[in-house]
Amino acid sequence: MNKNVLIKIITVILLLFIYTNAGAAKSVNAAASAYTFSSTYDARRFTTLTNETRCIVCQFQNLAESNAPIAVSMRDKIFQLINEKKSDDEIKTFLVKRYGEVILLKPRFNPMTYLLWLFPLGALLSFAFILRKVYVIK
Amino acid sequence: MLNFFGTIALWCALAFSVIQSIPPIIGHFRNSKRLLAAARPAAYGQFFSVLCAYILLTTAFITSDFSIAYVGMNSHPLLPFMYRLTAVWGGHEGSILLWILLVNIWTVIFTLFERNNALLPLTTAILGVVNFCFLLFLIFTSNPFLPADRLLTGSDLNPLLQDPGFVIHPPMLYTGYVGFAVAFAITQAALLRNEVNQAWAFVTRRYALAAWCFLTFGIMLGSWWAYRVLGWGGFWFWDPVENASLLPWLAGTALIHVLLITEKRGAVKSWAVLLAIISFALSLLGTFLVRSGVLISAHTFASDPSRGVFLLILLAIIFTISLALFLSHLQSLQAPKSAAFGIISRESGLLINSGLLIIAMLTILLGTIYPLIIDALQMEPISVGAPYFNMVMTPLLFILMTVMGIGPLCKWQQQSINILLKKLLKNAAISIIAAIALLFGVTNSLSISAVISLTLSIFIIMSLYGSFRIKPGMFFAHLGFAVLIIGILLSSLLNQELEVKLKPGTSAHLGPYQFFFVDLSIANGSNYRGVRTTFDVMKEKRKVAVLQPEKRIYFVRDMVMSKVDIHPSIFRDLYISLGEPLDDNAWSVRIYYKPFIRWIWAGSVIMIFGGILSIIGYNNGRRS
Amino acid sequence: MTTIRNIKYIIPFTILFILLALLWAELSSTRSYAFSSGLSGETIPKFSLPSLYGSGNVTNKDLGGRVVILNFWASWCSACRSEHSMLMKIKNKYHIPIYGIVFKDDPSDAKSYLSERGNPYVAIGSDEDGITGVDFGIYATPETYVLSPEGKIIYKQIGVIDQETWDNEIYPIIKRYQ
Repeated sequence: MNKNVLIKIITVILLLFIYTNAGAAKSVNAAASAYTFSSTYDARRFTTLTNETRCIVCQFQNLAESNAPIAVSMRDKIFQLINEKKSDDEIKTFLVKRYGEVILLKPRFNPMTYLLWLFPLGALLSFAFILRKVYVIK
Repeated sequence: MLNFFGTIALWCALAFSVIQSIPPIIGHFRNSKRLLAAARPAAYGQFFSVLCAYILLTTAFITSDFSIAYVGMNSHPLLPFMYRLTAVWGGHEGSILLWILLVNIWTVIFTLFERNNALLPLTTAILGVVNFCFLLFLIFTSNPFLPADRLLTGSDLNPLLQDPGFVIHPPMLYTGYVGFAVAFAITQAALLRNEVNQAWAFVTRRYALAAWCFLTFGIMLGSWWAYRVLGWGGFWFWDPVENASLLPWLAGTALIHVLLITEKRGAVKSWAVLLAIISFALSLLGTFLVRSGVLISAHTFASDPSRGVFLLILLAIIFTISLALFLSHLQSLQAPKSAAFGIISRESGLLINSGLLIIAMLTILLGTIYPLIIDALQMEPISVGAPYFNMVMTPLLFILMTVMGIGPLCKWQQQSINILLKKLLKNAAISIIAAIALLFGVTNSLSISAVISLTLSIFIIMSLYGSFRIKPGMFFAHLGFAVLIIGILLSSLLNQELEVKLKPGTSAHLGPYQFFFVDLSIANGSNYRGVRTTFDVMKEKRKVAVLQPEKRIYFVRDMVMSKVDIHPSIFRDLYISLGEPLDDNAWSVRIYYKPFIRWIWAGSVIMIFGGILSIIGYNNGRRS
Repeated sequence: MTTIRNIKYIIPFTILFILLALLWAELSSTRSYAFSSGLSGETIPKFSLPSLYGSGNVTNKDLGGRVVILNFWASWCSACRSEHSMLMKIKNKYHIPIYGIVFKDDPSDAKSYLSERGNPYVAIGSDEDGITGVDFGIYATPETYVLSPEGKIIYKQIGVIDQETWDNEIYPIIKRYQ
């Protein structure tokens, strides 16, 4: 297996990781349908935010699925913040300030989570290198 | 009285497990056929004792004998009969007893089918060791027969568990986990006897396949149950409990594919042995981490550390010993030169995908325990949920599917690149065109993930051309997987959901359907009281379905539960879940229109069918 | 070749021991779940809620100038009922002003609750949609904040206040500011 082929394969893998994750939600969840948004884009932002925020009084549900009183209020608050033209980051920071990082179901990328986020890609690349050594020997 | 006999049965089982393990292992080292022969009868004795214990416990549940604490905590006189039978494994103690019973059943089946296999006594002995450990655990920390220390009136079974799907889900999962114990035991026996060879792979693969079928079925049932009972229309939540069952499944899938290489070509033996050990390790981790509660909350666990500590020590001992055995034999597991294979070959495809499956497994494992790691290091707690897993698993899945579409096209040992490229380009072209056409036709929109997923699924199906007659097992298993992925893709792409406040006489519309709220009525059961709503579903002025979701209060545990109603069909599900009641007889309801979601479970069933065909192939002497 | 052989030896055991060590560390920790410190030390969020009794609003501006307790409660909250007598004691015996925010409740239910049991509050704002609760970062009811004269959050209590917590934690903090 020569270097060129390996490089091409690694490039494809990297591109896959990037492209398959671009973009906001393509559809609108049930929680969003309870509100009137000024645009579909806002409704989709709400969908993504409520899917990615944790219901902190439930065992392991997201904000979109829970009926707990505080969860309903949190959805109302997120709706309010979206109408105030706050960005996704600002909304997340608002929630984290009050409830801690634990409220985000998709952990933010920072030194504490480097291992978590970089592991899959790192494991793949290591695997590719191990294979290369194994095939060279064989 | 029952609890007295039950405990005696357990002690007998413990005694038998000692006879089943120690004499045969000594017999192996001393080369004594007589000592080795002790394994089989002891296994039967143990099976009989454990079966008695299980029957006694079940009788206690049927007769609602609340003098036994465990029965009192998990049952109630008003609990319907079927659920009394299944409540036996509803709690920790009973589930461990079930696990032990299953090990015994698998052991007995193994002894019956492998009468003439030289590995039999030692395998049985190792299974005996495993059961000895768990019987110790059961008797000393989790005895289901402990008498109640005060008068109990019955706490009832958790209403979420009172569902037909949930009834078979744990036994199926456990049967799968325990099957990997058998694969593990055969492997340890083969290591001890220096007989890790193609014959070993042949036997082990059969049991690993059977375990895999049960595990797939168990996971599928869990997903189907969650969909029907939890009320949010989701089928997989990436929560720690679900992940715990997926980990051994991934390792087990890698195992059955790698064993194929060993069986046919005598190669990659060390990797196969390691996978057998890892699959069993993950099965144990899956059962017991979930049961001990540490994945959900470390603090549930810490409140009763005796069980956790015992398990931890057990796991540490079993795996240190088996790993040590493996590593000491590593040299002898090297394959001969004749087993070498090229980069482009069937073996290579299987090997690469086994690696990808293990990477996927490690990723999910890391994500699941990451919050625990952060917490143990005293840093600010974080959550790792579905958005993370969906994001990292998608690319891995795509790479896996690509190799899955290429592997079957390759010959063993060495595949000529030119011939392969021709086939690949043809399949790839057809797949992309078909995928784009289908997506555009059905959804009028294209997204990169959707195109890639559908292309790869069709690509996999194309690679199955010609294998229906020769390898029906692989044919259906891979077909099932492709159907599963298509189901996941299309149901999330085309999913529509709505939350709306309705009162009788009003309606809502979603997709091509109108949902009319017809009326409300009282609907009570033996251990609950509730309200039943009726919805008529119309499509283009024709009534296509009647849905009757309910809201129930189970009085003993004072738990409110929403009972969802679903109208299933091959191409779409219609799903209604009741939210909160409002003034004026109105209700907040959630309505879901889910196209193609049945394909997920249909695909799983087809996969299992493929697995069964593979096992049958073995029984007929054919290698499938 | 030797490197691969050594890796094969080391990796499995390392992974095994790391996992077990972590499990052990996790088991031996007995810290209770650390709720986020949230807005501790910060100025309270702005709010303006309709008053439960009478007309007009209760706002964050009413809470300045002296040490004040802000208590989130609801008539449907059973834990709040067990806290009620302690709140009356704080009003009558310790004379610390308590403001209430009634969370996601029907105003008439809230008024009946207080007329049955007594009213420990100087004023009560009605947070019917619960958004003020989210602004403060509450999880459920009851939750109580102790505010400095400048309007900064100097203590947050999640759950019921009992005599022990009052004596050991809350009252000492209040005394420091008086």
